[in-house]
Amino acid sequence: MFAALASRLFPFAARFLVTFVLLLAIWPFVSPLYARATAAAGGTVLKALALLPTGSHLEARDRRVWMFRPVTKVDGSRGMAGVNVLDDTTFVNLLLLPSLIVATPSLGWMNRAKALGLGAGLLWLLHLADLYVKLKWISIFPGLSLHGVVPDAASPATLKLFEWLYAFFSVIGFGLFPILVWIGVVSLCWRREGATGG
Amino acid sequence: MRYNALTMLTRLTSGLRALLTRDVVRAWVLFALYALGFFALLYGLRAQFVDPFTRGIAIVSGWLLNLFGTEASASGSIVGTATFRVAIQNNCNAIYEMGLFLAAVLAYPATWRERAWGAALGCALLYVVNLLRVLTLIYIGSHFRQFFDASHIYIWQSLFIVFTLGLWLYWAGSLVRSPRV
Repeated sequence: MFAALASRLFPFAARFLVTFVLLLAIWPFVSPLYARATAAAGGTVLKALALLPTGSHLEARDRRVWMFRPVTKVDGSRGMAGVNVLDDTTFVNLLLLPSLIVATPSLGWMNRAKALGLGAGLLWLLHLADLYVKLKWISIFPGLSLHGVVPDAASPATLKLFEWLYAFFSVIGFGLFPILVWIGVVSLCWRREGATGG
Repeated sequence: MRYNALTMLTRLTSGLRALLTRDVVRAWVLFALYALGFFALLYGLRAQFVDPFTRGIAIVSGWLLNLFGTEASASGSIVGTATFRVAIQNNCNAIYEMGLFLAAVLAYPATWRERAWGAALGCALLYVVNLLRVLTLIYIGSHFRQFFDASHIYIWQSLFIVFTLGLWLYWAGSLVRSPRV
């Protein structure tokens, strides 16, 4: 797989760039729809898994997903707080996946479509995981008290875990996830294509 | 309906079984371990290593801008011209991408000599291309401010990770003579 790709690296790069630029042109129209779909479906999934804080809900505003949750303020009063938990600077990595799949050589269009469908589903799940990590970290972040909000109770181990997960998703996730998903789905479809002679 | 779902599941598992050969599993596991290891190392040493490295990029960028006739200054991780200043942060210092590249190089079945060459040349190239990214972003910020966010977030961030991938593909496919599988 890698030798085949390396030997065709320049056509691969050219096809990637053309697809990426075309997708980038339609991104302003797609990203609010994706934010809306993620807020609706993500809210339902996280609620079903009991991962959404009680009384909270997700809402899409333009290209961003916001979480509105009940909070206790340091003066003891209660209220609702809205936090931006996911925006298109995170999920713009969606563009990488179809660009890479279209640029992949020796892959039939049917398998490309399958890889795209499977890959988009996997990447959406990773965005959902990202969303969960962010909303959890935002709820327990110790610095909240500086902004007049009492953070949710969490053990030191949980705090450390979510701090590191938040950093991992923010710093590495953007680039790593679409590439891992691409390698995974293309390997799967390439093998099947080789086996069926297609 | 049930038949279709079962057929799909059978196909998927047989595809996965074919995919998950011993060598491929070994490479994936190694990559995951190295990637997590590099992330833990870099994130754990951010004050001791990553922050000074980032400040170094700001200093070199400022020096290069001055060299090419644009008056610039660097302070900490902030670099800028008279009209535009920018703070270089984790996603713009290339160090985590270098960590991923090293993880992929180490996980690939090559000789240690090939790995050493790949790691050294790859990290050097990533550093240079990242400098190019910082300089072009400062130029865009100074002259075409309205395009800065799009160039920074949508274009350069995506292109840089794909450049990292391309570099590794080139190394694995062309420079490694005989993968040890």
